[in-house]
Amino acid sequence: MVESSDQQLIQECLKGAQRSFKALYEKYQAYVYTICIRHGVSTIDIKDHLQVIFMEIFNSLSRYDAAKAAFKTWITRITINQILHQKRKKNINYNNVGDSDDISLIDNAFTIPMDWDIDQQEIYALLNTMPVQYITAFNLLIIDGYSHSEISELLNIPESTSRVLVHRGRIWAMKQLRTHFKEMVARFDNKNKIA
Amino acid sequence: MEPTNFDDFIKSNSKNDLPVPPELNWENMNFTLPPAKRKRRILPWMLFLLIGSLGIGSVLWYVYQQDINQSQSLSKNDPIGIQNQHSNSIPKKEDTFADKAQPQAAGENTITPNKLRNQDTFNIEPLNSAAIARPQDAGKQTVNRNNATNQEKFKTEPITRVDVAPRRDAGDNSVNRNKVTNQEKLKAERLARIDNVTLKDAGDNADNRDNVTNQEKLKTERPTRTATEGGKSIPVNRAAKSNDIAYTKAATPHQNAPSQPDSTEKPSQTRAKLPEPNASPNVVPVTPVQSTSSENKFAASPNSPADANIKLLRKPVSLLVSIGINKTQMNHNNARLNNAVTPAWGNSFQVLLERELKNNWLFSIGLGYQRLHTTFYFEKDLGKFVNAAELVVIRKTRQVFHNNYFDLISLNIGVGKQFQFSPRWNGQVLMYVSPTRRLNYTGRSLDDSESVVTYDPNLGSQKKWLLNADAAFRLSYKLKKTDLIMGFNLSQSLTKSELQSAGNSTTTVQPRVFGLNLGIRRTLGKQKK
Repeated sequence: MVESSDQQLIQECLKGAQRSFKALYEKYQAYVYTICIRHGVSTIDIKDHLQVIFMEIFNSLSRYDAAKAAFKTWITRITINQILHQKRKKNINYNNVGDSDDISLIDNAFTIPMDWDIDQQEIYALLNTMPVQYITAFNLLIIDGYSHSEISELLNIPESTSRVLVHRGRIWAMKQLRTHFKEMVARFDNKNKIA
Repeated sequence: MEPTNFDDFIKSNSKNDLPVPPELNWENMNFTLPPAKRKRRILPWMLFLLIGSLGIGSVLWYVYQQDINQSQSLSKNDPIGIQNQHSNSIPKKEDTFADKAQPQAAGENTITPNKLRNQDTFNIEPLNSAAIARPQDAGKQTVNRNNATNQEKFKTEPITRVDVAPRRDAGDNSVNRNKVTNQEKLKAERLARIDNVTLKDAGDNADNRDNVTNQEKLKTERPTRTATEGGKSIPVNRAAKSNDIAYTKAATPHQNAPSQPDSTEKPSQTRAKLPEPNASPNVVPVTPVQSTSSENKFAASPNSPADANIKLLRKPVSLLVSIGINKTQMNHNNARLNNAVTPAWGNSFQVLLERELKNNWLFSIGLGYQRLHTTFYFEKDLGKFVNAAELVVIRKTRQVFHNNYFDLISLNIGVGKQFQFSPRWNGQVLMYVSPTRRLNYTGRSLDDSESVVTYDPNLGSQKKWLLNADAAFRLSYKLKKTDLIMGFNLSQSLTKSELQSAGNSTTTVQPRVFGLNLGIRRTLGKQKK
């Protein structure tokens, strides 16, 4: 079966073709799912989130302008907006930057090897242990490519707060990764000794 | 580790998509997609509405014009009508009438206003009806003048079976004429002429009464009725004024008999005829032809297709009652009449039945009453005055104001669309076509000599019907069971209405009305939830 282009699928969806929407869902399901997991959506809520996000995509298809952005970029925006919308319902205080004690014990001398073959899900699992205000700003800046000014608008916080959140999130992630790496190295050494 | 290196490490390990658990497959999701949104094509609908309104309007206009033409032609050919209008105040017209009537009346035209009053008592001599007959009936007048003789023949001729029905009718006419009560006299004022002519026609057809062929033709013609006057058709609306009396008189078979060579019956002016209760056994009872279309709808069985129409009628219908105030521009044809700068307020009352259609369309029908109040002024010349001190001539004028009142009743038929602004607020835009009847008018105008004259409705007006096009906008606020309505409407008369003022000066008006309305709307029956 020849894969239809996004534009064709969109046009058919606008005419009400459910089959095209199914194709669109199956094409971008994993992408949206990954964004949700990265932003800390729990596996319990993930189904509802996907449902809401794809319905929003379907309802907004008529407003999509291919000249302004790629469809994937447009979907990313909708997905993140929906995730933030759900988080706002939980009344997360992004201005609470946390205690500086959390990032005090950092061993700057230790460096994570760049060729470390770590599983993507493990990284996301480590990131999700981060305080919720950190992970949002951290993901938006580092992975999703938003600027601090955009983050400050999205989260309704000052730009400086956004910088602090990202900085602390980054340190938190490095700390977690080092800990995880040390544990892996220790386990690897134990295996070798046993062997 | 540098932050940039760390960011790169995270990015490089976030490129791929995670595997999706099977419970998130399409089959396990519950997507209920809404139907595709149809583009709101307002322009085509507005065009459709406009064309539809124009279509309805043109049909009504055509019917209206037909009616007017017939009325005018009748009044032109109806000497009694002319005499009645102008005998009191316009001797010139009377002379004109006399001139017309003289050739055939040959000196017997002795009709005077007093004689006309005598008609109320139904004691007019047959010769009078001959005298007032139209010029084209001249050839028949020799027969008409022998009406009395013909009547006698009626009584003396042997009655055959075939002749029973016509003779009974003729007899009934003569008897009924004597039994007309005082109350009926007023109603049958104009019918009197028909009676006279009917008698005359009875006499005309007396020679043909034994003609079986004519009777057979009669059977085929009786289903439709034409009110005739001496072989001249009368518009149905005119004949309808005298209701059953006019019906029985005019429906006598003599008028439909084929022996009248100058009969100018128009098929469009026919009406369904009721079967006669005492019809002769030899005369085949006539089955009403035109009564089937409307009556059968109501007599349809519950399982018939008409039942579907009844079900449709069960959909919610709203009753709207509103009162309002209005301002009017009368648009006189008289250049000297000027509308006052600030028009006076009139009032209005409206009862409408509205039914929702598909896609928020609305059908509306109802009755409206309007009392238009206009104030006009004219410049009255007070003459020239010489100011000797300053050696100037001053021409003085005075603005004379007069109030005019017009009472109108209209049948409003319209369609529109409603828009929902919020759960409680709705808007409606409607367009109406409104045949309007002018009930009364009081006020003044200028006659040909530019002196102020008072409208005299009793003198009659040539055009009492107007055709209006209305556009209305309403805003409604929903309460528990009723809606509060406020809105405005703009009504433009498509036709000119003539006002017959004293002194035979005719002023035409073409009102344009702007109204503000307040009202309530209540849904009749149960609403669908």
